[in-house]
Amino acid sequence: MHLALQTFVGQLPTAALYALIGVGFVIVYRGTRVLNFAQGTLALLGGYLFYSIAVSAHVPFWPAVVLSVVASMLLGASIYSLMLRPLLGETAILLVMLTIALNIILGALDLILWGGATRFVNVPGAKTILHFPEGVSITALDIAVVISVAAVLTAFGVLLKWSRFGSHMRAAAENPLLATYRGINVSTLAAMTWAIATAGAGLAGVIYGATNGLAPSAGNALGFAAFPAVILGGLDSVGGALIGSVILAEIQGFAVSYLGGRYSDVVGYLVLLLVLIISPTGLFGSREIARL
Amino acid sequence: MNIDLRKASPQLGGGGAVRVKRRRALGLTSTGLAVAGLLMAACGSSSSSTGTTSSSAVSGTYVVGSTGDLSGPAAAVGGALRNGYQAYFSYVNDHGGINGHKVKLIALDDGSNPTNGVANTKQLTQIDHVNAELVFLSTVLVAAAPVLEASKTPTISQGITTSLVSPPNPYMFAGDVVIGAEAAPVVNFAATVAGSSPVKVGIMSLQVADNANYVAKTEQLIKAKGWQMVNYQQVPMSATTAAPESTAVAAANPNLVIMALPEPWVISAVQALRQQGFTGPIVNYDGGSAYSTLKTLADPNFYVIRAFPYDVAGQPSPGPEFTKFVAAAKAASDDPNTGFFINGYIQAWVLGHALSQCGYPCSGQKLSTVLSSLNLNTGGLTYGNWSYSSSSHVGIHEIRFWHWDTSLSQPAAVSGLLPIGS
Amino acid sequence: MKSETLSQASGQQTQRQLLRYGGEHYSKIAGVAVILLVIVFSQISSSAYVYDADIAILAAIGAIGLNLLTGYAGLISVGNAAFLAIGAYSVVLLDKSMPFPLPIFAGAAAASIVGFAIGLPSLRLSGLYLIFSTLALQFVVAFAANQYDTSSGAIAGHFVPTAKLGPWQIASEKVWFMVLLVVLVLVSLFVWNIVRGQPGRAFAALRRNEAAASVVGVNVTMTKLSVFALSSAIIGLAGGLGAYFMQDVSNGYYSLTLTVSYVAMILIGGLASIWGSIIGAFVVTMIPFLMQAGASTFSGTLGGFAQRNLSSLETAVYGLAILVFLFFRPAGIASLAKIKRRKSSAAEAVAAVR
Repeated sequence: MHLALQTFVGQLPTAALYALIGVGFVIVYRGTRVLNFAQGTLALLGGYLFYSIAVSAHVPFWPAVVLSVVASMLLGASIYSLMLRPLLGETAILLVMLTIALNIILGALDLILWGGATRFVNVPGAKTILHFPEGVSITALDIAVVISVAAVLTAFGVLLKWSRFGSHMRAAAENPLLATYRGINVSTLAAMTWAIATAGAGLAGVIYGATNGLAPSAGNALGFAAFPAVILGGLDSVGGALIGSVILAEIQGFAVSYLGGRYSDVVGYLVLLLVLIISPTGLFGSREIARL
Repeated sequence: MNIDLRKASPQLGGGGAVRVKRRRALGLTSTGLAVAGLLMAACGSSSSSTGTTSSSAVSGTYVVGSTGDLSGPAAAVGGALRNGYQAYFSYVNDHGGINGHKVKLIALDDGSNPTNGVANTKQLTQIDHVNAELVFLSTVLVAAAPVLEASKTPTISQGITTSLVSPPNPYMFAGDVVIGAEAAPVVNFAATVAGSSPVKVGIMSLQVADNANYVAKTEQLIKAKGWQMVNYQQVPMSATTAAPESTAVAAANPNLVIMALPEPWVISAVQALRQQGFTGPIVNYDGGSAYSTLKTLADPNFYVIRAFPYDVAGQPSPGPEFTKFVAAAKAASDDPNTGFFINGYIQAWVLGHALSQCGYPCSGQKLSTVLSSLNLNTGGLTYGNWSYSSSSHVGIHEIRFWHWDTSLSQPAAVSGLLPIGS
Repeated sequence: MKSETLSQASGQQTQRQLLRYGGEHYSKIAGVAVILLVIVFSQISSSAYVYDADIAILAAIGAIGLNLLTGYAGLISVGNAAFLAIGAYSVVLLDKSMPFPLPIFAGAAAASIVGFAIGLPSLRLSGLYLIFSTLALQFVVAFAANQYDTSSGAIAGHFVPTAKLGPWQIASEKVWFMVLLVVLVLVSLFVWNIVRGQPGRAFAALRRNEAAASVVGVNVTMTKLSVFALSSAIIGLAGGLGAYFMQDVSNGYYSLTLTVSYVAMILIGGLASIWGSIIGAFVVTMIPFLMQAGASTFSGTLGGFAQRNLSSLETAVYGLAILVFLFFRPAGIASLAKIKRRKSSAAEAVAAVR
């Protein structure tokens, strides 16, 4: 019972990371029809930027978080404008390969700029351990992570639902041509979508650096671990990505606790296969994503 | 934080691919392009490629090859080892070389994968005709051993399995203590820091060939002491964190944890154990004794076994070779305390001294004979002499235990010199 | 048939037909000449170069298999490392009980069956879903291989004994070169025959527009499944050959990196082109050598930096190479070389990709 509770609570911060990365993946897919294989590496890069700003440049904690998230935002917008926009409208394989190439280059860059050693960022609360009944413990940092990610994603949900930006985004995702007729600048909107998605990923990287330490190989770990969560929720559903992240993180946590560490990935991808066989649109995906 | 993001063996843009990571002189490149040209345009001549020489044939140099992880999950360790080799060879090259001949290092990347390691070793032995090879991982060494033996290439390896050194394979030499042999000193030391009986032990180990021996021996010794093993977790190399395994270990309520985890896994493992309320002693093997590990954890109840000194203030006279080592590291703009950098330097140092005794040219057979009877005063690089014999190809015979001294903010020895066998 | 076409065609068409006929002829002569030259080259040159050529040919066989799927039929898969692994592990499992080439064929069959099974749920859906199911296959195969390696005490991988074809040992680079070249030629001819015939037209229809293909009577699902199974079989065959060639099989080798390197080969070489697959395989295999040569031309701080980061720089250049081809030459090197004078399949690929 203790192990089950501890696993459940311990996986919540992981779910938060998956959610940050997964929601970005979903809005990029909805907005630009690009499957972004570089999402995990972009997250890691955000973490490294934070490391350089906070540790190497000695910027205090909160300004460093803000600076690195803004840097990620600019990075996302420029990736879209410089690399994707010229190729938009190309076939899926070209766009997928583009993000894979980007992933390869960014991964190599990480290794050249920050080296192979694990980089740590000291964050307040990382060593403050809070104890709960049934012997469950969690650090103050982890609680802060879960709460702040929930707040960020709620704010984003509100923005998407009730703001002009949100309605434009939905309109552009449903029918770009029609949106253009309505006077929406689809291209600017797409750049903003990339900026927001990359900023979310960057924030995930900051959290990962504070809780686990940054290593170059973690980029793909983050991206590929969050993939099944997105499919489970439905490739084009923001809410689905959220719920999918929580379910997936918990399934993986229990697999590791009760079966062993090596089951983590494969369990995630077995879930993905099951979703493809039973209901390819996932829990909340729209019908059209599965059609030809 | 009980995270279990795992990289899994698949990874984009890292490790070895079909682009077998090998490199050679210009001659081959032009030839390679010539082949491509041939296939492409059905014209062209291979004459441009005939008569070019491979790097090994460049007269007057010793050629040393290495295969290690430069891009995969253990790139931090592999890169530091490589930089250590290069720092020593650059140092000797700047000081007249060995027997008047310079040393050329060909450092290849295997991404921690034995299949790539075998391909690299074939390349180094059959094509570059290296005088000797330096290897990082025991897993790679085990897979590459038949190729190395067939080509009579003496090899010094960071990771080595007991089966390759006792009885010794004539061409395999340990570049550090054999991990299986660390079990006895670790368990004996653990007895001095473990609290009240019954001692309940949790074990965590990285999933590589020689760590399995360490775990098997540890289990035997624990049983002999009347202790109880409450949990054992293997951490796959593909994991980016060992935190989930720690959750399972902590849940078994041990009062002592014995580890065989290097960076980065050791960090997340110890942090997760502490987070989940485990306050007992943790004793780790020498692979996890990097300065940065001790510093990051800053945990006085975390102990490591180690065969080499750290570059820290207040040590008793470090010895002339250690001073040279620090100078060589600074010349290469490396931090001498980078984990495994000193290991790489020392392995190259030992090989350099063997080449010096072997003369020039130096055949693999002759070098193997020289190494088998090598006995060197390391001048402070290790705690005693580095000596191989025909019955044991392990050069290190003494170790020490260290931990992080929170009042001094630096590593401090917590034991005297202890013997270690093979 | 040909004369009939000629007599019926207008002048311009006749011209094109003649060119086409001439182009095919040229292609055949070129092929034979290349093979002869390559054989001569392989037997007189140093074994070092032949070893590199062996690796490139091995990659080319797999790349042709992938190009059949992605280039000709327009289906994206990231499962090729998994199929290579299935071929290689079949050799590990069967080598003791069967003589040399048979485990390779068994591996190809196994890869084909797995391809069929994994294709079933995803191929009736939009093309993107094949990426996800093959990604899942990659993780499942990696897990199974890791479990097998661990449980059989082969953390350092499985040793594969030297291949013996009757009384002949296939051990030296030069013998391997001949064997691999024969396989490459056979696979090329096999794929060439498929893509220029009726199935090839079905693939092309599929690639251009699935809905339209089904209207003109192409059984979309069956065509997709069979091309996927066929492609998987060829990649599995390459995996089995690779196991005998490298003599070591370990789970970590068959990574997503390996997958991506094959995708890079067909993109750089040229989609829907057999020559493109071969050229791409050679180029991708040679990148490390080019980088080494480049790095050694620098000295001092820059040289030190290059040497120290060579592995990462190689990776970066390889990623940049893909980018460059995506942006400027979506039809790959094969289109640059103008191997085929008629509107080549590579050019068709441009049309398909655009």
